[in-house]
Amino acid sequence: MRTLKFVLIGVVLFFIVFPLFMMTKYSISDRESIVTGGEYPEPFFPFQPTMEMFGLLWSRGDFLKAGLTSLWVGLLAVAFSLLLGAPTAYALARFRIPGIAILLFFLLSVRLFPDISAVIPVAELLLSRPFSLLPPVILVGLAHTLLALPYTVYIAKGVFESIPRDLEEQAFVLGAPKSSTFLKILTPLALPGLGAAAIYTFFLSWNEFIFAYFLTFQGTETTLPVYLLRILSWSPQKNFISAISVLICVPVIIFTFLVQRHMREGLTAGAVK
Amino acid sequence: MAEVRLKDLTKKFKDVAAVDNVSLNVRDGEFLTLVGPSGCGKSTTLRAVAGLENPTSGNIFIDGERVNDLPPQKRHISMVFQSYALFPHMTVESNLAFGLKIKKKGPEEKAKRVKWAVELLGLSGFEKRLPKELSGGQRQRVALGRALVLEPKVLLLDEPLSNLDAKLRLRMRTELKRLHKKIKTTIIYVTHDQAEAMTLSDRMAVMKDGRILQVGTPGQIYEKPADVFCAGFIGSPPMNFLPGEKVPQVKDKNVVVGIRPEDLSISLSRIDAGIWGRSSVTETLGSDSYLHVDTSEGLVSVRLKSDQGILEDKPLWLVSHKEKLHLFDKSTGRRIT
Amino acid sequence: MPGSIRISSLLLRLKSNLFTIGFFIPAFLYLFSFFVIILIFLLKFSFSGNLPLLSLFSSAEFKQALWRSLCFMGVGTPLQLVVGLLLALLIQRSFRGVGAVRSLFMIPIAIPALVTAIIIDLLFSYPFGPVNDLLLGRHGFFPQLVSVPVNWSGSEFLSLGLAILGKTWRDMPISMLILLAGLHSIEREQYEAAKTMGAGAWQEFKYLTLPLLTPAILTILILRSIENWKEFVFPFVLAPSYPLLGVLIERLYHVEQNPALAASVALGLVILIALTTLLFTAITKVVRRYLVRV
Repeated sequence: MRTLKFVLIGVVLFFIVFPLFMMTKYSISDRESIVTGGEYPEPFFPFQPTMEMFGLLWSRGDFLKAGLTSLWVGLLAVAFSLLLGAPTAYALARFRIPGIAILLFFLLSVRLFPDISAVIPVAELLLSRPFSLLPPVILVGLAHTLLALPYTVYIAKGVFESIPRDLEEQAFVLGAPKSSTFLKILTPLALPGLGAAAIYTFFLSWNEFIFAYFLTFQGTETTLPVYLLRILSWSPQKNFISAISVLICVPVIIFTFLVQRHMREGLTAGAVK
Repeated sequence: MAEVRLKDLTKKFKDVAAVDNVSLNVRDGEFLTLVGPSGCGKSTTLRAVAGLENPTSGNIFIDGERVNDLPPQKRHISMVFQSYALFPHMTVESNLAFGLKIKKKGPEEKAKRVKWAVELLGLSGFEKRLPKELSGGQRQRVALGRALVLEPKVLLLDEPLSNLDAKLRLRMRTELKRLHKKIKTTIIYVTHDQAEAMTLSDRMAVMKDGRILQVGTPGQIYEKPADVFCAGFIGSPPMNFLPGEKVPQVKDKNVVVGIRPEDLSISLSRIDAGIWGRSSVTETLGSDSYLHVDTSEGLVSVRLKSDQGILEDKPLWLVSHKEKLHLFDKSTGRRIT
Repeated sequence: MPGSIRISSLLLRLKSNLFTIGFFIPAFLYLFSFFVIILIFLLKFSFSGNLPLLSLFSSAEFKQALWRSLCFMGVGTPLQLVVGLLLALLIQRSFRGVGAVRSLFMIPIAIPALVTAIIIDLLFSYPFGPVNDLLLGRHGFFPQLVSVPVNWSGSEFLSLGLAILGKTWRDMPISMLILLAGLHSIEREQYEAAKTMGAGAWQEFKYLTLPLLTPAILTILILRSIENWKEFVFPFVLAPSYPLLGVLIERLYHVEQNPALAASVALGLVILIALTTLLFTAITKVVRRYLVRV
């Protein structure tokens, strides 16, 4: 029974790691290892590993530009969702009113639409005046805020609930106004938890494809996933497309390990009672 | 019914011995309590008997048969857990019948045994309820019933009363004792509450750091504690300990003297055999009152006789009959007879 | 007047909490106004001019996409449940290194869906790719199963199958985590109690794990069916020739430049999801009632 379990774990791990291994392998493959012409099977490790593709990407301005766009969009989404979400989460955590469940429902309601359905009206709205005058980075950032905000509120609500109410009451009794209590007492305490929400938001934005694709369909300024898709439409070599994929994945995988616990909370948010 | 024998039982987790070379005989039909502070190994011992832990070394015999390698269900034991571990999705009836169903008993026998348990434990009318629709005491009884319907040779109880509120706990204590009188199954009972152990047990084993310090009837342990720990652990409020040289009747600095609060009497005038102190506060526990006296060796508690008035902040002398003193070796902590 | 007293005390409470309420408003406005905008846009488009929403019912393209989406949902949902359950059961009990294994099991969700889809596309590429190499028996360690390379993207069945595979691979940590939380809410003592009463591993699973996990399982069925209905990225990359609803929306919007029709399909998708959720919720109620009284 135990042996079977560990064998199965091994099998699952193989299926998880194998595609990623292949992606990495392709990214450092030389020409002979990918263009076989059917004369020999593709090797499981390149004949002559090379970093050529990464060098090529580094020298290409459009890749770096897409990377910067992704970075800016992510940071904007983080800033917007924290500025909007943290106060709301605080209010939800502290203010007890009857109808709070309804308010929560309205907060989350926008996520009831599937992304692929919501994106049409959002694109129609943001790609027409006056919004279309804004740079695409901001448009995509706004859209990603829309996606991330409900999660930010949910995570931050948990963070504020974990801070004892006594602290605020103590500050209140000592005569501190509410605004400075929030800024000077609560915010520092909540910062680590909010940081997790920020990282979650950033990678939601980093990985997001649908909204970025629709909102930057025509322009030259796009995020990395959309850039990847555009490259794909030229039918590029396997090694080139894999090198881009590797570069998109590396930061996410690293950070997944760092903020795993909070990610788990975000993913199962509201699913388990 | 059966006797249980533990021989040199040791259970190590990593390198720490949770149970350290324990030997114990539980007699047929006896109510034996393992009592000790948390982490003393009492639960691990019980779980080893149940077959939920594999002993690192040593043997366990039930009715003379070595059961070390038997799975729990082949040991003819039943266990009641601290959390009751009732199955939340099953009704009282299904919970009671679960073990019988696993053992593939016929429907008639199942119904008969369940009915027996329901009546024995006063659960009539609750058969169709879910655990969450029951009170704490009722849940406790369902857990007991679920163990009893299997007619175990040995019933293992792991702190079964600790999740109940104080009042209910006292009532269930009495019920448990009555139940044991009626069914006469061998019971091994684990608790950290010495009062529970004193009132329930035929015999009790005091455990500390994985070892059994003393086995005996509650009376034996109370009157002749084997060492300083047993003396201090059993009895409430606990025994007072004084260094031998400070007690005029003893005058021996290699000895620790233990005196129970009820064995001390108070004199307001000087007594040569007495210990001087100053009365501090009185604590009333219903029928009994205890006076705390500040002595040069710290606070000493004394049970007050009912006719004694309020004595606070007065100098006084404490004295005890010499035969009521418990003497312990200062270095080993063992009793000196 | 008790009514006016109630109102005035409510006003007082509102006033004393004005600060908190003020906090609540910005995010609420942002999300709620988008909700309203999306809803209005979808409705406006769907019922504009010649009622594109109704014209869908006579469109062969829509019916085909609907059928494909239904298959995608119908196959993907139970598959993802079973895979999630397997993973959760594997790491349910603690063992040395369980934390590391769980972290590794989490990797797929971190990879962008588009990248996952592209990796699968590379692995199953035609005519020469790792999987075809394997099936053709070009590696010594694997038996030859086919004589000509398989054209995965050329077959409706195979390409949608790959899309389901990709979706399942990427989302398995989500189902796993929900089921794991469900499993961990079952106390260890309940298993031990069952064991002392003679239950074996299979009986423990049948009488304890499965019934106690039912709420989590139903949650997953609902969440997964929604996810599968609305899936876009995997079929978009792996089965572009065989659009299901999500891909059809994109095509109508970008290729055919017909936002009204695209919005109609989008609204149709919302309705389908709502209906499926209602259906599963009803099933949940029935199953729960049945399970409560074993």
